[in-house]
Amino acid sequence: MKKFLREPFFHFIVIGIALFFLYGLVNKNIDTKNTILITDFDLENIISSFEMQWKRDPTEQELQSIINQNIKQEVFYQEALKMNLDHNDEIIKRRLSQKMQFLSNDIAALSEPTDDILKVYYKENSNKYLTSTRYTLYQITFSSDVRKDNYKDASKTLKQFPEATFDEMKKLGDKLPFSYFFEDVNAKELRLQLGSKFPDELKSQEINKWVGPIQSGFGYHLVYITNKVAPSLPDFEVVKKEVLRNYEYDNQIETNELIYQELKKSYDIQFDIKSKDFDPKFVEFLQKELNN
Amino acid sequence: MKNIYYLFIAALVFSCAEKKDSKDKSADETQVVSAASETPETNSGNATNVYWGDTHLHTNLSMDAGLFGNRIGLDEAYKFAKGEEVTASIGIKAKLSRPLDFLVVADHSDGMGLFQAINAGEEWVMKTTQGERWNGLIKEGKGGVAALELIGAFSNNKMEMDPNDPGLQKSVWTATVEAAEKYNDPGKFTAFIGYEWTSLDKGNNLHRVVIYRDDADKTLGQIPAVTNDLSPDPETLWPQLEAYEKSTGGKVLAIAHNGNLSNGVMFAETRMNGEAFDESYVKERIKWEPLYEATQIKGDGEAHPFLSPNDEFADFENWDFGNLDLSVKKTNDMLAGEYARSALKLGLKYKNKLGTNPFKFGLIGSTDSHTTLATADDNNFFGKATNVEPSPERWKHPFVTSDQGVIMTWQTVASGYAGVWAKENTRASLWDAMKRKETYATTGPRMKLRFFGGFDYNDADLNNLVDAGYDKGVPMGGDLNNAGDKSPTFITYALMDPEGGSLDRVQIVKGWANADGTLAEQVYDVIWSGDRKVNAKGKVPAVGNTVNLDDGTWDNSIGSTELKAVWTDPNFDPELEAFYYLRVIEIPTPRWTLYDKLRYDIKDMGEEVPLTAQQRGYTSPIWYSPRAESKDSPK
Repeated sequence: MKKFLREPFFHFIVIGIALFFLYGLVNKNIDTKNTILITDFDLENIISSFEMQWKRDPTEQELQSIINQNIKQEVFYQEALKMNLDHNDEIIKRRLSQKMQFLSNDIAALSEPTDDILKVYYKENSNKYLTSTRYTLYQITFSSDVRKDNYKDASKTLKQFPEATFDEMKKLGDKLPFSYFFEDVNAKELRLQLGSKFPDELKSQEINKWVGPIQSGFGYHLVYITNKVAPSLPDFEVVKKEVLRNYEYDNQIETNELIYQELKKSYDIQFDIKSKDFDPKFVEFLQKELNN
Repeated sequence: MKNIYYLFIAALVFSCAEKKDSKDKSADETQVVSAASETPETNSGNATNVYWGDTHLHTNLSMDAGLFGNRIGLDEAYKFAKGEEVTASIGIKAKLSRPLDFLVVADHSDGMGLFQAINAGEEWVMKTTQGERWNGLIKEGKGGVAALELIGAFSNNKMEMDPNDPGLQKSVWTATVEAAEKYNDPGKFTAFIGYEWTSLDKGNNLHRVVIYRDDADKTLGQIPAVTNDLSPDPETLWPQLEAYEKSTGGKVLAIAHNGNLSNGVMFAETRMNGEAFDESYVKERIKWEPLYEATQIKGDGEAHPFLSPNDEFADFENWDFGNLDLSVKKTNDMLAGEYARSALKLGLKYKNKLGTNPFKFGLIGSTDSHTTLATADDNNFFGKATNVEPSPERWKHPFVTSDQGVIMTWQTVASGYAGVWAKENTRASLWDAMKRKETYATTGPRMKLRFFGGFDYNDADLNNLVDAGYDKGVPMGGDLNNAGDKSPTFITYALMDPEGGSLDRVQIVKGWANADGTLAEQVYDVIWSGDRKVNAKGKVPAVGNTVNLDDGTWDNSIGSTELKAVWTDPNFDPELEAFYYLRVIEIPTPRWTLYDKLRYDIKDMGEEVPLTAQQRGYTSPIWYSPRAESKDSPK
């Protein structure tokens, strides 16, 4: 399915349909030979947009006047189309090109992805969904709140008692408002609690021995890592909502660009610049770039 | 061709069917949430986590943000807040150093989608002189000029087009709600549904951010309240909030901001129609507006040195130049109606007079960024709007200019965030915490602050301060009554942001209403770093400044990582209404202007530009009342 979505032929068909649909929308009144048809739908629209603005129903007189305005607009619009007044009108150009953009957004949203498509996307972008490294560790803090040189104290302690048990080491450090023991905590969480330096420095440390001093936002730490679990990819189901969101976002940007590029293929972009103010090399460069 | 057309229709129908399916699912989830909300956690205490967020962010859907050149929208807002890298409107990559836990995209309800219409040169806009001019300016790359003109025209009610075209609004609101639903991950990240009610009266800022507790099932059908049909008077907003709650069973609150740009109107002592406060007014105001945004990019609004001459920290990033569009200059008599501390004091006066305190609000900070990027970090500041995203020139760009004066971009502040104490990261849990005011404001750093009030705390409670705090008293935002012969005691606790500056000091700010009707305030230094001694003036001397202006580093060892103490009010009178809140000050660290100066090697930054600042946090107050029952607690 994914491959199919990427086929130029598929895009061609989709764009064809879109253009056909747009043509139908724009031209629905032309074939009616000077008949202006006002349906239930039109009336309801008029009334509900009045309600939204004024928080009440329009009176009969108001309704009549709005309908009159609409008819007048429609008549002028139809006649203007017949006289080709819409051609080369900057406002109309921009509005229609914006509508094309909306259409292409809608096309992107149309292809609601199946789980299979999402799974391919999830594998292709797996680094986005990797969990961070998980640690189980003991930490002893040396805080500058109560020490003159907390780095030196931490280094000295480690040198002196490299084999200390956890309970022995605990007595040598300071109390801070987080745990001595972190069980199966991920690096992101450590980062929020202790600042970025701590998990960064933790990466390269050996396990099952006292290491340090390791710096956090609160001072220096001696750390004993008992377990380190490398990043892993969570099951698809766990991250599915996030995958879908990212897929839709990427897909919309990609579809917009694809449709534009596809349509542009049938245009040859030419520059006809005679002014000497422009470097001909630059113009040549532009022409090449824009035709790519 | 016809067959293909039918296929297309079939595809449309199919996709509708699928969408319906997913809507059913979200309806199920809603039931779970509302089942949980039957036992509201309000007042049950013991909020275990502080969650960080921005309650006030604009995307390109806000008319002014779009005009300033913002080209990125809802997806990017949420991705950035969640810690992902996005491309800012000016084309550079942007990423937060740490993700946020929640976000309120609060685009202006007035003119929702108007920018898109001006940019696209839609006919109904272009037929006005203004529309044609602004469209032209955008094309010439002068969107910023257009934005300022638009704000000016809007605030003075001189718009030639209807900025609130219902069709536009509905489509923009639908996109807003749907994006919030898409990015809301209960337990991990909360995307609130909200908007900004952009009320201005002759250029005086009366804006409110409106935040729903509810999901799309209740909010999608709402067209956000706009100001132009009715009036800029916030009293016209409240009935609309009430109508929402009545018709849907949902819940909603509003947060005012930038009293400093209201020229005294934000906390004026009369209603906007000029009449005196009455019981109904004071009750309605506090019912709908339980929080105030005390700090943000357009200035810090906690205190002002004119109002608090004895507070050496009151002079912090104040914007006291004029109103929002600088059409009227500021005068000193306006200040009492602009700053949070002053309003908290005025509230006590009306508690005595009318039985209800209209300004009994808690505090939060937020950015009000118009760049889609919710950052309050000085080393990662993307400015107020896209025209002042990072560049070597931005500091000297005149941000607001009028015949009354000029506000330069270097005067904008990389501030602030909201800290919310709650049990879990969901719309319901965070919203309930906001409603009960268990919140605090910071100017950006994510310091952890606890503040409990009671009558029986002692130093031993510091060993187990959260349990003791809740068991024997109330957290920030709470009430104390009936002191009897005891004085209130407070547990104060601050832990520095592990990526910020260490702590200079913890203070308690007390305000009270004397028996003779006068209002008073006092700032107490509770605990501070190092062995500084209180000087003859009763103040703890300044902590010093270690910032190296050549490389932007500083030394955290002059401050503390953690400060905690139990404090008893030494001047307590049980017969007087009072409030107490915590203010925590960091040691000086680089301001965003210094980071810019070093990053771009700027040589001509003048001496008037501050390069360092003492970041800070303000908790919601704890109120004391001699009366047994506080009449104004929302039921």
